[in-house]
This record gives sequence, C-alpha cells and structure tokens, in this order.
Amino acid sequence: MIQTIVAVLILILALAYLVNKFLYPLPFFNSKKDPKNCGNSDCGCS
Amino acid sequence: MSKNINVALIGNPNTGKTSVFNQLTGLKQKVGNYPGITVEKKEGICKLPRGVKAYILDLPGTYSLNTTSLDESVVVELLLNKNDKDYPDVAVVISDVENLKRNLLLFTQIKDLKIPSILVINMADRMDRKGISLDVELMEQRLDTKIALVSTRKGFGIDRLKELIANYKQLSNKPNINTAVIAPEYFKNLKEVFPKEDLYKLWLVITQDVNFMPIERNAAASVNEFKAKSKTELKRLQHKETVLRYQFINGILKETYKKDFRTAKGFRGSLDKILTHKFFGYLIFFAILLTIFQAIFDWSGYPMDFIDAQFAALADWTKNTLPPGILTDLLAEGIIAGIGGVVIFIPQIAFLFLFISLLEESGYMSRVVFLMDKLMRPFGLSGKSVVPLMSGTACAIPAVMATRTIENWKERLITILVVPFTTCSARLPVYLILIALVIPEGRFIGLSYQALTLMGLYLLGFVMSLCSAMILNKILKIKSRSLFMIEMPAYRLPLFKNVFYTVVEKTKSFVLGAGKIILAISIVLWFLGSYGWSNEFKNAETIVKERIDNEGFNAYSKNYLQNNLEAFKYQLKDSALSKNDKIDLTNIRTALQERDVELHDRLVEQEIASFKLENSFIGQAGKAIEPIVKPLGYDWKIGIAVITSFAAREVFVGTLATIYSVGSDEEETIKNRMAAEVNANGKPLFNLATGVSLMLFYAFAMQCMSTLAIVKRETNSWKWPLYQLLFMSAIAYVTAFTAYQILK
Repeated sequence: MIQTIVAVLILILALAYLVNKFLYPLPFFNSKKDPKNCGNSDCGCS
Repeated sequence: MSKNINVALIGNPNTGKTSVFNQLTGLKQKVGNYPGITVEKKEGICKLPRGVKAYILDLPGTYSLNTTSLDESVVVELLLNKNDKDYPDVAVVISDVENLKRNLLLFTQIKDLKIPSILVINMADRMDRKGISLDVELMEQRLDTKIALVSTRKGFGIDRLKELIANYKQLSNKPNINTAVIAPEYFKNLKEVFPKEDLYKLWLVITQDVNFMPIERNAAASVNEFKAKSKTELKRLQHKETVLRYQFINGILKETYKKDFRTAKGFRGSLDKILTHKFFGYLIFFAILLTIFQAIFDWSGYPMDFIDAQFAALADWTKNTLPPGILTDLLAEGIIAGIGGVVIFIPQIAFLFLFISLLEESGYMSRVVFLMDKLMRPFGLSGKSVVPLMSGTACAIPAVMATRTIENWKERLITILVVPFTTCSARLPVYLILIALVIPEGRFIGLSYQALTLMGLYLLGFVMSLCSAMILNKILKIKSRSLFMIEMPAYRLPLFKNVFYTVVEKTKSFVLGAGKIILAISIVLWFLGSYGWSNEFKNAETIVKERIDNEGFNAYSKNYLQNNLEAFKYQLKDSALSKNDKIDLTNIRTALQERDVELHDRLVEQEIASFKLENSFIGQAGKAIEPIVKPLGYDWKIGIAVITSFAAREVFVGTLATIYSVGSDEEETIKNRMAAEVNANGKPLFNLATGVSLMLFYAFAMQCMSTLAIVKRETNSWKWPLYQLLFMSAIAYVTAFTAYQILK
C-alpha cells in the first residue's frame, strides 16, 4: 500500500514537472505577452 | 556603513571581460578565446574594501558606442539611460595590452559620457614576451583616469582594481574630447533645441542604427527630426569624430606605449598563414575534426560500458533487495533505466567539450570562423552567422541567442532558422548508440568506420544548414549583408582551469538539464507501459499460456531456446573434457532437461511481459502511430521514443531503455537490450536500414521544445518556430523514408 502511494506521488511530481516545463510556456496556458521587440526596425516585430 | 554601487564591465570583444567578471565575483561564467561569447548582460556581486558592495555587470563586447547590432545596443541603452536601475556609478573599461589603440576608442567615448571610468589593461603578463613597455602614470594623466594592469590568467592586478572601484568617487568625470569641434554649427543648434541635455549623449542617440528610445518621448521625436534631415551627413560627421578620437589616442600612445618589434617577432603570423590557408586550412580543420571523433569512440568505449553495466547491476540489485511491489518495479525498470540512459553518455559529452574548449582557449576557433566565412558566402550567409552555427554544436539555445550579433534582420532570421540543423550535444547520445548497434567496428586507414560515420553526421548537419540557408535566402531575399569583422586573438596555451570548468559545467548542465526531463518522462512511460485497461492486458497470462500450449513459443523465443541449449550442451562437454572426465551422457541429459525447464519458465514470463507491454496504454498508443512510422522502418516502440524525443532528443535512449525494461527480470545493459530486439521475422530490429533511417531522422528533425521557445522569444512570434518545426520534420521524414526504402 505504501509502495503504491509513494509511486503515485512520484508519478504526479513527474507529470507536474513536464507540464511546467513544456506546456506552461505555450500561449494557450500563459497569455502574458513579451513586450520586448528585437530592436530592428525592418523585422516587423516592433 | 556599507554602500552599494553599480559597476559596468565594458570593452571590445575578446578582451577578457568575463574573465575579469569571474575574478571579481567568484562566479564561473563561460569564457573563451574568441569574440562574441557574451550576448546578454550578466550580474554578480563583489565585496570591495571598506565594506563597499559592488553589483558587477558583465556586458557584451562592443568596438564603439556606434552600435549596429542588438547585443552591442545593450551597452549603449544602459549608458544612455540614467533611470536604468543598473546605470553604472563607475565604468570599468577592459582593454587588451596588444590592442590598446583600438580599445581606447571605446574608452574615450565612455569617458565623454561623463561616467567615472577606470581603464583595465588586461593580459599584462604578455608585455615582456611581446616587447611592450608602458608609462602607466603618464597615461593616467593624459587620459585623466586610473589604470589597473591586470592579468586574469596569472591572477594579478585584481586587488588594485577592487581598490580603484572602491575609490571611484575620486575619479574624474571630465570628458576626454570635445566632440562639438567636428561640426560647431550643428552642435550649437542641438544645444539650442535641448538646452538641458548632455550634447554627446544626444549625439549618440541621433547616430544609432539600432532603434531604441532611452530618452523622453517628446525629446525623441525631435531627435528623429534631426536624424531624418541628414543621414549621410551624420555618417560623415561620425567618421570625423572617429578620426578626431584616433588623433587623440595616437598622441597619447606615442608618449606612453613602446613596442620593441624585434622582441615581438613571433611565429603567430606564419602559423596564421597555414591555419587560414585556402587549402591547408581546411585540411587541418578536417584532420582535427577526425581526431576528435576518433577519440570520442576510442577513449569513451570503456567508461561507457562500465557505466552501462553498473546501472544494469544496480537495477538488478534493487529488484532483488527491496520488497517486491510497484515502487520497487518503478525504481528498477523506470527510474534507474531512465537515468542510466543519460549517465552512460557522460564520457562522450565530456570528451566533446574538452576538445571544443581546447580549440576555443587556444585561439584556433577564430581561425575556423575566418575559414568558414569564405565557405558560407556562396550560400548567402556572412561570417557573422559562423559563430552561432559553431556554437550550435554544443546547444542550439545559446547559438540562437548568439545571432544577436547580426545586425541585418533577415540574415539573423535565416541563421536562427538553420542553426538547429547543426549537430548539438543532445543528438550525440542517439548517434552513438545507433552507430554502435548498426555500424561495424572495422577500420579504414586507421580510422574506425564508427568515427567516420559520426563525423559524416556532423558534416551532414552543417551542409543541411547551408542548403536551407540558400533556399531561405532565395525566399526572403537579403539586400545587404552584414559587415563581418573578426579579431584574430593571440594563440595561447589553454588554461587548465578554464578548460576544466567548461568541461564540468557543460557536462553538468547536460546531465542535469536532460536528466530531469528524461527522469520525468521515464517515470510516466513506466506507468503507461505497466498498466492498461484492455481485456488482453488484464488476461495476458491466460491468453499467452494458452497460445504457447497450442502453438508453441514465438519465433524469437524458439531461436533463443534452441541456441541457448546448444551452447549449454557444448559448455558441459568442454567442461568434462577439460577435467579429463569421461563424458557421462546421463548427467548431460539431466542437466539439459533442468536447463530446458528453467529457460521455458523464463521465456513464458518474457512472452507474458511482452504481450502485456503491447496491450498497455503505451502499447496501444504506439500501435496507433505505427502506420506513420512503419514506412521509416520503425516498430511501435521506436515510434514512442521518436514521439517523446520531440520534447528533447536525448530522451530517445532513455525512453527505449525504459520500454525495454518494463517487466524484464534479466540484468541487461541498454545496448544489449536494443541489440536483442527483433522484428516480426525474428531478425534484429536495429539493422543498417533502420539505424540509418533513425540517424537521418534525428539529424534533421526539430526535436527540442526549448529551442522552439527560444526562437519564439528571439523572433517575438510563434510563426517562425512553427515553420521551423514543420519544415525540419518534413525533411526528416522524407529523408528517413527514402534511406530506409533504399537500404532495406
């Protein structure tokens, strides 16, 4: 029983880490916009 | 009472700013003997005499305050904005004793901004060897500053520098040059429009190529008016200003700087002629690359096998020692197997970075950049793209950031888009394991086929980046190319300390960076491979046992059983003969029967585990994607590894190690598990066709989420990383498909 609880906790931690690492930076999860432009006048990003 | 001050380290590229930064702060930022390593500002803290605490800012290298690229503009933005929280109380201008004339141009510009400035003359240990003598006191008087003679290699002069920084209030902030003399009328007008602004600061804002707004908006609008009126005239005035500065500098150096050319005569010139020769230069570079790849294979084989065996033993020990249960299985089959998939590659990664670091430290890397510039021009890239492409061999993320030195936006964009084709260290584990599995161990003129294959893959990545640049150049059309200028640093004996730190830091960041991702993915994969909801999964034992009773073992198990029993029979005979015993057939028959029962039970267990894996969550997902990856020669297990590698390439080996470990009781290394995999025909799954197909797929596919995120940040749009992902994946699929169909 203890083994199962610890194993499931490890699984939850691993999933949380992966979500934080890969899914959180995507715009769907994080709507904060980067206000910095690239500094060039002809790139269309400013 | 302790005070806090801001100190900015500024200087030309490759003058050793980061080395001074590291010695002041005790930090270990990356340093190297080639320009363009620092593209962002870095901060550290230094405790100075009398309780003064200094926030040290290491800024990207710039030749002057007339910036043209984004990394250089970081310096000017800071120096022109007094409201910036990092605005320096004192500027420490780092110069190189051998290039003082050029370095002093930047110093006089900073001094004219009325910022208290200290001049550091670095690499002072080379003065004797190069026949240089300096009248420091006179130079201090003429430049109206304080000077610290420093050698970061020998570690002297840092204490004096700290003392000078602590006493920064005693420094003069009078300008060196009155810039207004270059166009008195123009500057008079400026003064009338902006009576409160500093004239030299205004002049810099007006003449910048990089677009930024460090001064108030209303004032900026007026400045733009000034700017628009006479752009060519401004360039002419800028030129006049530079001439004025050099006249001032020449006057000072004539009095204070002496160089005995008879002493200075060295072998650098003749060495440069050979190393940058249009034929021998490439030949030498090619030979160096070959030596590196040969060494990676020859030297790291033993430690790699050792680590692999230790992890297999650890997994076995865990399973046999800890109480049986889900956690023990997760540890043995998921976590240990997954971590083993990263740690096994430490020797190769360390050797790769050792060689890269030696090349950087010695000054040879700048010669390579010079050579590559010639090679790249026909493909539409300038030499400014070489540094990012070379950095890409370590990791694409700093390489994408290194493109900030390219002032032309389209050229910069093309470089960003093609950088991920260069072979990064994350591809190395995938290549190494596949090469070891499918390329024979023979040699060709003393060079192993395996090393040649690895070098071929590195070259393939580089060629692909050039070809893609050529295509993009046709689509995006660059009108003017960036001006490329590279400094050839002096040759130096690599400093053991720097090489050691680079190797340790790079290896550590690979293991920790990749290790965390691989560990997390291994855990998730183990769960997905150990559980399932289908009836087949739940009744696996009954189904498999019934099938074995009715049809016997599958092709692989039959072969395995037969070969193993044959081998055991010969072993028994040999053992009897070696003891000069008579061969007792009854004994042999009994031993064989016992062995048969033992193997039978083990194979039944293995077939059950394999059937369960196929019907687990991951098995079902793998089967669903199998039609897509089958034309490339991959089974569903490789398909899963390819999919998980889209997070990061190095996950590939860890994923396969975990998938092949699920339900397995045998102590086995990752390499042996992969070599033992068979396809439906009972033949090795990792054959030449599949191996080449996989290597090509990994050479071209965009499998790194972190790189995509950094491309998004640098281009400020998701459009470009998305194009990059689609373009590279399409090329990867088509080439892998073609290779497999031809070779199978």
